[in-house]
Amino acid sequence: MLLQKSTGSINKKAELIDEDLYRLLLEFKDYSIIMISSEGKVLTWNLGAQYLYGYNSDEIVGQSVELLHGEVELAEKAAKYLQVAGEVGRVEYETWKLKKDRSRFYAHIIITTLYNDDQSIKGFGKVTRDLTVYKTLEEENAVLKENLEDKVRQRTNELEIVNKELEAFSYSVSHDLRTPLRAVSGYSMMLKEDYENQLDSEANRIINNIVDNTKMMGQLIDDLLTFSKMARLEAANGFIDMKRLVDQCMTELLQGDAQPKFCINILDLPASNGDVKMVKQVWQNLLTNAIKYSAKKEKPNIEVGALDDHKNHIYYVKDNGAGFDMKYANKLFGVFQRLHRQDEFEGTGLGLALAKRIITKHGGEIWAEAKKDHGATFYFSIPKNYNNGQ
Amino acid sequence: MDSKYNEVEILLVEDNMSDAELVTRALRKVNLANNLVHVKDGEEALEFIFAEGRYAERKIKNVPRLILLDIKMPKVDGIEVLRQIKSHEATKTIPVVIMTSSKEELDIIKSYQLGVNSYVVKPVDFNNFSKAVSELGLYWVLINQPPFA
Repeated sequence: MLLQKSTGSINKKAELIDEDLYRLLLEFKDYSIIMISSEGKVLTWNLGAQYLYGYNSDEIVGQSVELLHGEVELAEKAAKYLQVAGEVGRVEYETWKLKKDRSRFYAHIIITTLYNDDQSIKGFGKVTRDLTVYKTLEEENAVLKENLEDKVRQRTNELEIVNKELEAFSYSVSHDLRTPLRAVSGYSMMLKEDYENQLDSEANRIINNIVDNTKMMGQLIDDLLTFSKMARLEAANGFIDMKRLVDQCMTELLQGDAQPKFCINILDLPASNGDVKMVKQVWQNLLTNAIKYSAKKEKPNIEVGALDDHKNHIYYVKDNGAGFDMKYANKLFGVFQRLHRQDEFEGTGLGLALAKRIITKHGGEIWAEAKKDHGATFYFSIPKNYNNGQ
Repeated sequence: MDSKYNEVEILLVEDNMSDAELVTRALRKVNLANNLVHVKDGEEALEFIFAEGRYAERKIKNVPRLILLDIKMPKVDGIEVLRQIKSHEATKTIPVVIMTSSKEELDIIKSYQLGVNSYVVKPVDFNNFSKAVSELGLYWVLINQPPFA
């Protein structure tokens, strides 16, 4: 017996405790608690072990512990753990095991080595807990999670396909709209060129309006194309010399139109990472707006500068033009949203929507501050750590 | 077969009648429309260029000085016509200018890979369109020096 039955009156109390403890262990149903000799024979077999493995103590006590493992493979594995326990004193592991009726259960096992006074191995205590329910749940969860991920992947794919179709559709719509539009514009001009002398001034005014509107629609289609194209593109990651980029945009925008009345002040701009082509588009749109909305002022003033909030580079374009009422600020960046009539300021209502799309792709934000008739300032930010997930 | 098909300066391949009229008008203004033939789709274009079918009487060696080619056409599209022109010894030196509404990057890249001589996006605005057509007509027919006599 490994649980010693001490003799002698001094140990009487200890003996009682030992006996109680022993009985408790034997009757304990929730855990299999068994003792194994140093040679690997089963010495004690509690109720928990009986429930778990399906053997009576009569069938197993005195037998080799290998009987419990049923299969050679499992037995070899168990022998190895016993050996490790002998070497290091304790081993804990989880594994699938077989019951007497060959059904499986998932076991959490702790083997503790018991030593003699001379440190030689006396035997092993082996506590086994049935974790089948938890393990099954865990496995079911894993399957559910996998299914869920599959479903998410599938939905994402479907969404991407629909998105692509939508983009292709809007592209082809904008594309196919150009052809009849060119015809409308073309035939109006032919009428004007060939019959100008036969038409009175009202007829000529009407023709001019037709032509102007086809130009407007052409611009609209171009902007729509750019907009839908932008949705399909991934933002690249390159070095952007912002100062140079803005200087370049400004030169391009003011080319041809001699606009000496503009006072343009481009302050120092920190370099950033991002997609040069896309960010150039943002500058073009913001600068075009600044020029357009301040052009009617006596002394139009445009300032380009930058702020820094540690995490982001914030750039701004400030003008002293028409501005707008801040209560409409939420409409600014929507597709086809405009705060001015066509006869006040021409536009398609796509420029800022496009700018927003680009800045969002860079993980930044775009916003504006303005006062009606007192100019507007447009800000956009690009995170300093923008690296396109690379 | 009409002998005029052997003295063609410009072959216009265009399925849209309005666009064809605009192009012809612009070319006529700079006197380049006299020896112009308009074919209405890619299939007819291939028959003309390779002197087959409707144009079997034509001599293949009498190549046009310039081909103006639309991309989006029924049956055989412009890219395919371009591919065939540039892959045949007898026709690959003919200057081909793609004229299309498409700014699609893929179309542009594909066209250049196949050896297009120029790629022009048709402006919507009539004046710009006329200017573009007459300028490219003048350039390819009068200024450019082709390798054939």
